[in-house]
Amino acid sequence: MVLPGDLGPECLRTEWRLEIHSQESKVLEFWDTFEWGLWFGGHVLYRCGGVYNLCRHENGTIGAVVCEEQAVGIRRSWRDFKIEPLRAALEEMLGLRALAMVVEGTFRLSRCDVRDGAGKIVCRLEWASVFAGKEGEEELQRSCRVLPLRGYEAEADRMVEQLIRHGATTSGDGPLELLLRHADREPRKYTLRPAFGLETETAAREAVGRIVGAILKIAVSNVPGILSDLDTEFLHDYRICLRKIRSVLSLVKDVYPVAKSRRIRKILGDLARQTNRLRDLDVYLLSRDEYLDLLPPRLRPALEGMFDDFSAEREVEVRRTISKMGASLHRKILRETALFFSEQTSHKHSPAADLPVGPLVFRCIYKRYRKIRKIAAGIGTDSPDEMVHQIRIECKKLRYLLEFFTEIIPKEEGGAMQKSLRRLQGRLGDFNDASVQQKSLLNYWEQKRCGAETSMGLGGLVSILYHRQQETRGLIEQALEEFCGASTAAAFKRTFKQPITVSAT
Amino acid sequence: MKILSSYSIKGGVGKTALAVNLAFALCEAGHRTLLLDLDPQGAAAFYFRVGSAEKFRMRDAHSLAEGLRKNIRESDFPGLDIIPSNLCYRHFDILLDGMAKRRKQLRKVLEEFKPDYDVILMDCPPNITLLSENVFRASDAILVPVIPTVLSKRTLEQLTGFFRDEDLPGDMLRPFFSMVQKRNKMHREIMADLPASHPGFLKTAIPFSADVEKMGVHRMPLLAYSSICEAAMAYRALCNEILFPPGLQS
Repeated sequence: MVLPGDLGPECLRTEWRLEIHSQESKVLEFWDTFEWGLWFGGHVLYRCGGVYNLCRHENGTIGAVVCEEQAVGIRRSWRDFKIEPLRAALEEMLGLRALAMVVEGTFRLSRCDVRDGAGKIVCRLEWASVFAGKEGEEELQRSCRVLPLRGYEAEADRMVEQLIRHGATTSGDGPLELLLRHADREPRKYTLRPAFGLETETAAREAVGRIVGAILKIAVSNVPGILSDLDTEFLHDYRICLRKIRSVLSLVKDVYPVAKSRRIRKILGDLARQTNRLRDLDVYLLSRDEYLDLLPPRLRPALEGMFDDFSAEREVEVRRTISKMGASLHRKILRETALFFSEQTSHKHSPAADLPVGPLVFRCIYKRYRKIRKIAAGIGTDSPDEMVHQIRIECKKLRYLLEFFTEIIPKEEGGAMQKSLRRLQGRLGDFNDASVQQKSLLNYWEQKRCGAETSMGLGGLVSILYHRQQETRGLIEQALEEFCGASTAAAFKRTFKQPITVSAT
Repeated sequence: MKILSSYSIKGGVGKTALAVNLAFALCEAGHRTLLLDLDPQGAAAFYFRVGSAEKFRMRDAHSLAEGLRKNIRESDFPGLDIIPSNLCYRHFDILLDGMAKRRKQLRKVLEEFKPDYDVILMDCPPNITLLSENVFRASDAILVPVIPTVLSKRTLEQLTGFFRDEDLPGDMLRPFFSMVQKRNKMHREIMADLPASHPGFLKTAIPFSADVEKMGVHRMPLLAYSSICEAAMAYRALCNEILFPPGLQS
């Protein structure tokens, strides 16, 4: 119950005997990920007095404790925790994301036993005040929890009625919600696929501008996480955002002046390229356990050295990336790009700028699909890897188009197409990963002139990856048959092919 | 879940004091405990300041369990709940008499509380009725307070005789000396002889203490207001001996 500022337990003295216990004050630090994985997973993690407590989250209040762990120092990943049920619960909600403190608050709590005429405790009350910050700077709320004892629920109901008569309310935000709002840290769902509010008739330039603006905003929101090297997903998402922006600009042509559009694509491409090596190293290090598990235990120690080398190189790359991305030039580029695509900025006329985006984009989608079918027709068991790579790139472009313009594509058809495309992309991705990883392992072997033990380990790994790649090829052919087959082709034609209009002269 | 009962044919031997303090000691040791006051005098509930139970209709085992559940009262001590006594419990015998397997119904009823409690402790009235027989068959151990006097000794022998006649397992009987006055010669003599003829006799003895009698004034278990007096320590030792029999201690 939320209480008016001056209401204390004394208001109940007319009917009950009160036994007020001493007050305790605790500073609670709340932790979550950038994506609010715990919050949206129905949980809250707080640290108090060196103990991490994972609790259920019930309407902005801290619910029952699920698990706790005494911890010296900061815990970032689920892997840093030792107690198995806590690790398992966190792994599911955090994945690759790291924990960071989101807000801290001071909770002053006093408990009170309420006794009846015979002196029996019939109810317990918890009087809580929540203050922002660890010094208790500003009181945000006073609340009271009425904890009935079993068999004495009627007495508790009477107490609630009495508190309501004194101005208490049963609704209102929970203390955690208030703390977050006070710190301007309200949880929001994070997605790389936001809605852009597009309609078929929206002018193409306006549509592309909205898409770029929204995705650029997501890219910018990831920069602080990269600069503090909190987890690998900030860089991953930042790179995806840059790729998507470049993609939409190149796929939906002639909506902005060509030279300017090309220049922006190049600048964003350069920004992404600066982080290529760091992302590669992240990928290798994230698959460390998987790689080592592929080898017999005897050969594993030899490969540990390679991962240690990658870790050391990553340290250098992180410093380099931070110095580039932390520089004012990087901030200026992102700011100017955002300004370029804002509605306030006027541009010279371009042929497609004012066309309705629906027909324009449907043409692009259909063209891209036909291109994929054409390449797929030439793919066989002996086709070079480059052809598979090319089809992977084309699929990625098509996927982006389907994603960007999902709001104007008929839902049922679009959903089925994306599902089938995702399956194909998954297999193409596995093929590409196996191919790239082989190359990079062989590169490492050549550059480092590894000893016999490491060479054996690397050789073993390369041959496993080669076999994996060959196996995936068969799966790709199956997925291509499905995606390029008659029924999917008919669906694409039905949905995206424009009727040819002949103008009467 | 363990089911214990505090029982004696004789009144005034310290049954309720045992039930109340043992329930507290069990809860103190971390066991979720339910104290079921079956004695219509309702002294156990009185010591916890709990009023008498609301009346309920007892038609069968299910309605009996439901009625008992509705009457569970949380004590002032977290982890310790009480079902207070009610005069309607005098109908227990009639109810049980009308049921099939009438001597084993109480166990079935109490099994329904298994998910919520580690121990159920019954404070029983001083008589032998169909309810008592149900208590005997429901309990894992029957704790019998014995004042080291000739009359108490005689009632213990009557009880063991009843167990023999009714073919009840005699090893469930766990007598112990209660209200012991060490300066009393007769107490000393009986304490020296009696345990030898009863294999389940508990080693811990509860001393006579004015502190125990003050429970009625404080209206709480002795262990709650005089935690380290000799009698309180004895109740804790008795609790330990029941939970961890000497043969099982490592």
